[in-house]
Amino acid sequence: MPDTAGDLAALDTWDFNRAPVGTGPFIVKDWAAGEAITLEKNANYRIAGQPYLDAVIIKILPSREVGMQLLGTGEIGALWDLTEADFASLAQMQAQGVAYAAAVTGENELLVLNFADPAVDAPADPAAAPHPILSDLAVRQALQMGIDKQKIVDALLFGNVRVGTTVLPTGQFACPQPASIFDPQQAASLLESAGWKPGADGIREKDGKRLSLKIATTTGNQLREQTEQVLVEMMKAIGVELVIDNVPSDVLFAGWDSAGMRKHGAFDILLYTTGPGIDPDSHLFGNYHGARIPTAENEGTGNNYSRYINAEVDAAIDDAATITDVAKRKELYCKVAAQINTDIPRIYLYERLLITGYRTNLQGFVVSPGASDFAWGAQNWWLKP
Amino acid sequence: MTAYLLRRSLQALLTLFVISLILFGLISSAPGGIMSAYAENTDMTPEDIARLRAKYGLDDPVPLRYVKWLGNTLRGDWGDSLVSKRPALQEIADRLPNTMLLMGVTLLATLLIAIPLGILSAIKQYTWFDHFATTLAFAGQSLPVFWFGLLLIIVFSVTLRGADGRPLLPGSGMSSLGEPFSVADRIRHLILPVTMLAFVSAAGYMRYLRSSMLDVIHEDYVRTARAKGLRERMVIYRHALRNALIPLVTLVGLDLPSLFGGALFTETIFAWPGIGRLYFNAALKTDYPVVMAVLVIYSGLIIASSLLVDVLYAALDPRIRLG
Repeated sequence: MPDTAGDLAALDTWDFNRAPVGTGPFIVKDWAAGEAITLEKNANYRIAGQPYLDAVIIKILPSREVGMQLLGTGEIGALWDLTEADFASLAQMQAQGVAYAAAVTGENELLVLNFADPAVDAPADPAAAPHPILSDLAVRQALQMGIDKQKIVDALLFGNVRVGTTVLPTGQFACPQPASIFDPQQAASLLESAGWKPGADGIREKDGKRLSLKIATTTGNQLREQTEQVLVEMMKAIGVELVIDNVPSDVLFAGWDSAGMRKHGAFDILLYTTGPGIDPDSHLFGNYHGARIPTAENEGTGNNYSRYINAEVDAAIDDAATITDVAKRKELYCKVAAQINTDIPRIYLYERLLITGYRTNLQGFVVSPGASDFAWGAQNWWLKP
Repeated sequence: MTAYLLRRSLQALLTLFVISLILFGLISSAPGGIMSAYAENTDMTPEDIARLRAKYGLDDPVPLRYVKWLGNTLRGDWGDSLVSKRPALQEIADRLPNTMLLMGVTLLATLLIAIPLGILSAIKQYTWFDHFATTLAFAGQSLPVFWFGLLLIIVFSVTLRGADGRPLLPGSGMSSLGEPFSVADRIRHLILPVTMLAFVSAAGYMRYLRSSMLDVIHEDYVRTARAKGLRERMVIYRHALRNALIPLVTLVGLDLPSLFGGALFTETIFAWPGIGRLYFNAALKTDYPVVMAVLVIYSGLIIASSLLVDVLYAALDPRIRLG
């Protein structure tokens, strides 16, 4: 950053924050708070003759629905951060000259299963306080076998995404794994052998305890609510009672100090999206390594909410972090991915897409390979008259 | 009068103090919190999070935080937004003109619609005009405001098209993107949101004025004025309306704070960058400097406007004695 930007201690107050200077194809001309950011062509851009557009205006919208409506009437040229649930609307809007581009982000919509007892606050070791139901591998296997992931993809997402199979679905470290099988009969027999016999109302019981689990996800998300309802039905078919208990996203993702339910282990099953970035180390270490179980001792550090401990996985993650040979690292990460699928701390439902809708007169628009940057390749955009 | 004003001002300050105390307590106890944004980030170490917490002053107990906030605010430092790191007052100042424009035009439109309709409706009581107007008012008061707004957008922005195939009326924003400032453009962008808000407000005002006017028309002094031989127009506008307007002054006066507060539904549906949306987003993220700033200003305005209304009422109606 340029020295002229200001004194480092007062970083928050720099004008630079609202009028940054960079080397990209456009420069920030104006930022009307809450309204729009206007970017003008950078006359000194390194590629002569580009960017083709004279200006790009980023309009700040309060909701996706407003954005979709503006995309349809042509008031905006492109709209990012659409979800899989918008596919139906996008298909309808094709007649109005709207197209879309989608790329796999590497994240999965997944279920996080708690290995430890939710009644105990942030246990460090699930063996000391095991979850009465989910600590049994047979039960976890049965739960996964009872979920028809393809049906969720077909019915709720119109077949537009891939079924989730692995923690590393894409990128140079992609480790494809065999898809989980959907077999409710086998799931039922697994539960029977584990001691869970059907009770009077069809829900299984063992030692007087009902096979009842709470599932939580963010409120106000229609797709997730529908997914939960489908899961409830699928679980009922194998004799598991799934109770929906959603919370606002601020509460679900709250930190250690705000009594965040993930951090303190106060949940049975959670449904949300997460996944690795370009390099898997950060995500795998934070989510699946034994050293990153949030406890009072480490002040709630870590995202290993399942309280999953597997010495081989820990060793593989640690090794891969120290070597630079990509092929060897990939081998180690694939070992981790396979082991995770065997132990089932998380069930991967489907792979998330990054979807951008744009009007067909916007040419040269490409969703970036990393699918993280809306404006990647903005110097190539041009408008067909 | 001065004693009355003094007493009311002291009461106002006390009320404001209590309100700020309650609001601060509520906002600080809300779950989630500003730090939850960092919880998912695996690169944040606990030291970083602790340092940020200390920097934002979130480590102190709530009463101490309140005292600090109160001290700063009284000294003129309203704090920085925890989300955008800009001064809270700057965030408000950026959006205040937009809100005042929208709400000001709405208020004007509301009065321009409600007053004539209310008067005519009262004068021509039980005629077809009256029935039509009261039905319209009833519809306006019953309509969910957001549904009506979306309907306006569908009809005027999506379905109906202008000569060049673009929407007949813009359904979003304050001005057309990328085009130079033009008053006509601003007016076009105001039409739909103002229609949506004014229709609903005018409905309420019109019924109020109508009933107030009806009360007055049947008073003895109006009958006397007619008996004296005054023209009907004089009777209505010079004698009856003046008295009927007084309660309306109360209504309008109490509505004045909305010039600042904005309308959340309108701002969300029409992507209008106003204070309503600012407050809503700040509250969701428990960005307490912005939330407290908006709430304190808004409460202050409500208290001030109710005082103004009381004084004005006393000035207009000689029967009222303050104190």
